[in-house]
Amino acid sequence: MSHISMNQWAKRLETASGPDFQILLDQIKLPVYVDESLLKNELSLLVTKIMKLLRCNNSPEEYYQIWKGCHTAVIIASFNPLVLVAHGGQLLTGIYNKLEQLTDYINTQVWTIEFDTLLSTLVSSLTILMDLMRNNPTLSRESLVPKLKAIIPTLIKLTESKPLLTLPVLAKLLYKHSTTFKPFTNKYRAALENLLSSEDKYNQFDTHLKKLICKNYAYLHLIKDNNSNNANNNTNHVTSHPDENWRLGLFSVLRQYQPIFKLFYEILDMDQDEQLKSLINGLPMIKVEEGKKSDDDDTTTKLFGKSLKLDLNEPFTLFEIVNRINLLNDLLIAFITVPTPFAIRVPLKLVNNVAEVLMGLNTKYLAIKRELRHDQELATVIEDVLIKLQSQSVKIWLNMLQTYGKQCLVLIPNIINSISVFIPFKPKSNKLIDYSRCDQVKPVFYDIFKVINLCFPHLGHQFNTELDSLTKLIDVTMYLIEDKSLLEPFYNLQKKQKMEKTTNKSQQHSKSKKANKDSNGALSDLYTHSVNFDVSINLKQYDEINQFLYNIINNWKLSSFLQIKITKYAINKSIYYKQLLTTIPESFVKLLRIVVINPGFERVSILPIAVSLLNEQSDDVFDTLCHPKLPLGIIYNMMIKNNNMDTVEDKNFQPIDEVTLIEEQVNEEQVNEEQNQPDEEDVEVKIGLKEQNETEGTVPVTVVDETKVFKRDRFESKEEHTSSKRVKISETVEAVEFSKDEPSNSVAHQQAKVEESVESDDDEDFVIPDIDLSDDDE
Amino acid sequence: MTKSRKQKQKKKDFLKKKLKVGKTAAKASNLTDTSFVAKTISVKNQHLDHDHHDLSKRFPLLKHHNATVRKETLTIFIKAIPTIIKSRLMTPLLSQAIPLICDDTKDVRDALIELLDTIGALDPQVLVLHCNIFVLYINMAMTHIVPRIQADSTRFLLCLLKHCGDEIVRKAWLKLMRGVMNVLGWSAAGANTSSGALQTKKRDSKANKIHLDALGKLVEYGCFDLKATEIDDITGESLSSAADNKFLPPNLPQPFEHLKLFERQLKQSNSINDSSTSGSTVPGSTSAANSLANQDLESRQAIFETDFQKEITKQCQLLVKDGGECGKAANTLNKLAMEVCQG
Repeated sequence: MSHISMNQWAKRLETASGPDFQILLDQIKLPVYVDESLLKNELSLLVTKIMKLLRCNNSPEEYYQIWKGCHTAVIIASFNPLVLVAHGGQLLTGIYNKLEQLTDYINTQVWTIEFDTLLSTLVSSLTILMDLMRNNPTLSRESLVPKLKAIIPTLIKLTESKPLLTLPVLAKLLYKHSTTFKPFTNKYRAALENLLSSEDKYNQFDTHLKKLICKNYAYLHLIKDNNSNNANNNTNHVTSHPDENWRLGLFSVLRQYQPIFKLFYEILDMDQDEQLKSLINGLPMIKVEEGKKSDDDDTTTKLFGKSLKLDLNEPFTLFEIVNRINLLNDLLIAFITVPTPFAIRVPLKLVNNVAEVLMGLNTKYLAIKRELRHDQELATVIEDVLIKLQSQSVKIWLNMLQTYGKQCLVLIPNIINSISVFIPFKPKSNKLIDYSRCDQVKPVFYDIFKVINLCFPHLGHQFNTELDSLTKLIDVTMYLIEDKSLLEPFYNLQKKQKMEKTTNKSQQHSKSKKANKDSNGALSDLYTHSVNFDVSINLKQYDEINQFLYNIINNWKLSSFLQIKITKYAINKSIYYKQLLTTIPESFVKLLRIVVINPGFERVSILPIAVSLLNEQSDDVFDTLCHPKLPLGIIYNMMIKNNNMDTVEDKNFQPIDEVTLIEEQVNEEQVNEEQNQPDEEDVEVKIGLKEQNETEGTVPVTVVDETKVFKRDRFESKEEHTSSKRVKISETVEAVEFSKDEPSNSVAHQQAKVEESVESDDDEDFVIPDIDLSDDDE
Repeated sequence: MTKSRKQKQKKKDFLKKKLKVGKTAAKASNLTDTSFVAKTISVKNQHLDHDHHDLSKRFPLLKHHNATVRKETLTIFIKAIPTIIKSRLMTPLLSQAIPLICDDTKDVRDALIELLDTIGALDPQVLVLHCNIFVLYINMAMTHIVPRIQADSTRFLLCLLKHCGDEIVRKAWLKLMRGVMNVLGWSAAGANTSSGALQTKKRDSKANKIHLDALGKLVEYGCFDLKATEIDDITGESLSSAADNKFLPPNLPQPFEHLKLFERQLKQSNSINDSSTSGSTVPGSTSAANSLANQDLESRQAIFETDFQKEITKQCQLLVKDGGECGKAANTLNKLAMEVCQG
């Protein structure tokens, strides 16, 4: 197939735009251009043109050319290894230079969409080229690594204004090129601390960006610190772990928790819970530097140079605690979850303790201090703060279990017990759940379901003994799966107003007339179409709940009340989603299956209902239940075996029993393996012992010879063939009669002619009796 | 002059004929016979007469103002049951007959019990089908203002329990327990003793005995797995409900009725959600929880232990002291109550 020469494409590069440019890009990546002969002329020309585009002015009119240059560079480098190897460095330099120029003038630039797009294109092109060059040793050594020394500072500089763009790249560079990054560690640390220290700024970032920042902060600790290395070298015979610096970073974060938790000693009456106090005291403490006072309040709650400023007279300042804990948790999660090139030692127990303390700080079991109780506003804020902290603990557990799974097995019972503390009870009650407050903290409950669902696969039937901690959670689940109407408070208010009207008719009459005129808008819709104001949870949340219910029903037999409620919920929602989406979602199918298989105390399973629901979606489980089939594969194998045994038993009839089956297996193994005398003899010993054991409890044998073993013909023939040291088997075997009275596996041993071997090793000798089995047995 | 024949004949026409004795007057020659014979054609299926074999015509008689008519109608139905047990007449019969639970006349009620016994003996599934209505009317009888009707309500309950105890207990065990306690004048935990109770101080000991028997049966059916003691002759396995194959097509009428899939339920008040509804304890106060809690054995046993056991034991001990038939019945009930708590 003919193709256009690369020179043509190169010439068109400058003028191409829109669909032309797309065609150009499509064509230059064809494998036909991977030709060494083209390298010096055509491909070089193309690269020159690309460089020309990349060197365009920084004026807005030229942005498009630069953009084209970037994309062309990326495409040709990705699909043409020759260009990558020969000119990759050149292209990288070109892109980098442009990026540097734009970064230098970033503060003076007018931010337009084109500028933004260009910046992101430059960074992404840089990333792609670096990724392409990284795995090739020569290319990396000669082109990539030297340039990194220039690229990294530029990217760090750009992080201030465009963190979302640069942080993923820098994270990769930290991971892959830790040593190259070393000189810039402090600078990068300063940039990150700048983003982290201002909590207002940090809180404005979205979740993804927060994760990136924390990930990068953690990756800073991949770089080995010189100081720590020297310290290790001083100690004799201590091997330094590669994760020393990482642990330092992790513990520096963990140390920040204790001072904050100690603040709560002023707010809550902590004397009521000694266990919580001991947990707090067990957390790592901030190391006090020599010469400094230990009770310097300013340093204890300081993080990245900023300390907490709390004033109990201004209740809303308490939310700073929540911000700080959020930040610390994000950093902690980053340290324990991000992938590292070396193994890290994670103090899971400490992390769990942090989460337990966060969950344990609640007004359910710890009262607010007396002097603070009077202030209603303060009390409400404290409760809100504590609920937020509890939700953070669930987040820690979620990440911990997602990453470490089975390694948290020891901690799982504690986690579940702690989680049950979260369920809000009505005031002055230990049993009654406050469902209205459950509504307010719904998102936390969904996270809790996720945590429990992560625990279930590791615990399995252990749950038979741990019913109590989860029963309340099941009740909350039953409440959360109901559809709620936003109009309930409205109706209740209406009722109240009516009641008040009837009691105080005269007083309110004149006032209410006017009030009604003003307040009553178009309220008719609330009455006629109240269904439109019903709130239901979304499908993802249903999935979590369904998984939770699946595990509950799978492991426990629930009371009828709960079982019926769950069944109704499964059926109703399945029908609803079937109408909406024409198929029933997977989680509901699983739930229906488990409800069918485990009907609990019901008299009859809902199999007919489930089958009719899943009529169109054929389901294997229900298919098997409705049309049970025998496992044909196994039956077929058994038939073959029986047929084989029949042919052998023509001569030696013996009812099938354990001994013979074992012998068969043994025989088959021996036929397949190489002939090895000691092994065979060991087998014979085993068979002999087995025979002996079985015949001990049966009809007493007239002639007892412990070495007598009843063997088949083929085994005997094998024996004859293999062992010369063996005792020769005499071919005459006496007939054995089987009677119904005797157990089937007992065989009356007949006295046989045995020729004993001369060998001294008694263990290896077996006297094989002469047993003659005639064909006309039974 | 002698008259000629012609003249004589002419005169004859105008002469009045003499009437002869023993003979009737001669009929005029121009007389027209207007007599006729009427005959009937009998077409059997067009008969307007009442067919005594058509029972469906007798249903309205169950609502007759005369008690005797009602009673006789019931007796006729009792005799006809073996023939109509498989027919479509059973449903209208039962739906019309069941309200007679609250009938004023004792004879009618007795006849109704006999009818139910007959039906139950032949085919209990018919009674199982109408359990809902039965429970409704028995409850109505238990809370009836007329003392005699209230007293007889337990007889109906006993009769029903005999034939379809499992179904009744699954549907409304808690309600019926409260009802019987009400009839006996005992208070369940947390219930208002003064409301709705039979306030007569002198109770008929016979009636009391029946009430106690009914309560005993209710406890027996509700708190024990009676099938577990029976063993299938063929397979040798226990007939316990736990051993039933729940995946075979159900041989019960309306097996999924308790799910209430096609019923519109009234919005539950917050009081339902307040109490813990988990496996260990079930509240005895709210209707939704009640109806669902009756379904399984463990829940019923739990409710019995928390709500009824104390009161029953206390009252039974008092009755045992009094002695007599009531005492015996109370003793049996007491033993049952102890067994439930131990089991």
